[in-house]
Amino acid sequence: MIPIQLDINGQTIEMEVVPDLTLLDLLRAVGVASVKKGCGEGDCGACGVLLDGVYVKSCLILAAQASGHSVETVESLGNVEHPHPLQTAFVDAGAVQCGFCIPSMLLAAKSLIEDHPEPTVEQIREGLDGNLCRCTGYVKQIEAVQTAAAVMKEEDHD
Amino acid sequence: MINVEKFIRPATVAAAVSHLKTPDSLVLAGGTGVTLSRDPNVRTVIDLSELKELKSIELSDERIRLGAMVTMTQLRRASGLPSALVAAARAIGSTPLRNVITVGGELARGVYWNDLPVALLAMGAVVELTSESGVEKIPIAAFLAEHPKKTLAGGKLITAVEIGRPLAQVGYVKFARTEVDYAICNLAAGLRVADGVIREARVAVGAIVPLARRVPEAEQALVGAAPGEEAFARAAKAVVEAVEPRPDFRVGREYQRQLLESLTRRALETATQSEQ
Repeated sequence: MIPIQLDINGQTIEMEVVPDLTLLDLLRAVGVASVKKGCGEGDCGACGVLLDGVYVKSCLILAAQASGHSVETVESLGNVEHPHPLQTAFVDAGAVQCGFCIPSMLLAAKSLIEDHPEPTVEQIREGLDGNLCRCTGYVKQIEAVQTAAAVMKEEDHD
Repeated sequence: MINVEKFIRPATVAAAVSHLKTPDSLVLAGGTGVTLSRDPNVRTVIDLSELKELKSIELSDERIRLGAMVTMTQLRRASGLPSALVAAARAIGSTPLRNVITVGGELARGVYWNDLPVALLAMGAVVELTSESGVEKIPIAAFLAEHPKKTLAGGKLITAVEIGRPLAQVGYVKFARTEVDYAICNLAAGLRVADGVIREARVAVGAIVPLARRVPEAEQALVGAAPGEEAFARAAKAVVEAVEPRPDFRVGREYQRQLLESLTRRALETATQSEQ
């Protein structure tokens, strides 16, 4: 067993894990249900999280590797009462259907807007290129990211 | 990782190197290639994530130096890098993978579809290896030939890749079914042209062969000629004749030959249009 300590959405956890436990399986085991296990091998992107603010696939990160770092998932983004502009924009644009891929896609979008506060369609497509969505066809999601980016920029100015 | 007993996160390269002789140890960089490994022999993981000294891109008058822990996203965003290097970094995987995949990992893993080694071959890059007996620098072609597919630590650590100046003009092209898929073929061409004549040429191919390599037959077809359609067609023909494509369930042999031909021309054209 490997002793680890990490910060998940602002909460520090300490535990002992088996060496091949992935960050994805750890997150689900401690009840972070937004992070999904799709393919489990780095293709689909349903397990995307922000690790020290960097968008990564948690199925390809070992829990032991994440020790000493902080993890952010969509649980820390917003909630029904206080949604994040990205969440509002995704709902308004009809960018959500089954929802399986959406939590991690929101984090990918957050990360790309941080890099490009006024993202072009090309930049959005690149920023979301690690997230497969089998329902929507991506058009509405690209629109939603553009809308959210504009709202976030406005809020920044206020 | 099923039998791993120990995770080590050294703070310096010297400390990392001293751990390399630990029996049954594995070096972990970005991890995309090894975290899911079920190799029962690995007992110790040497995690390089704290090695800040390997995370920078240094540009000087003599060379470009890429630390082994520089990520593809860093290459994608840096200014002052050759366009072919940026194109190869962009060609790899998707954003969350590029955020963690490292220069050293791309070289150490040695899988046939790797993008970065092909571009580096066309640039005449040099790989820096550090061991307890010191630092050695070897040409990337020799590195690839000597260290194919070696994920278990063998006493040496890849610490940097260097590209000497003056830079050649290099073009890099990847062909895959989708943008985020593994390459079916990737190809890079580097040219030094003076007084309207090609003085030096490097043509490198990957993914369609078991291990990225240069194609000297095509390089010979280019040197001494004027850069242009005629010379590029000769080089493309030489690549088709010299390269034996590996069997690929996605594409047939004839398709692979045509790919080699058009990608060679495309890489050469991209090279002539590139900034140095």
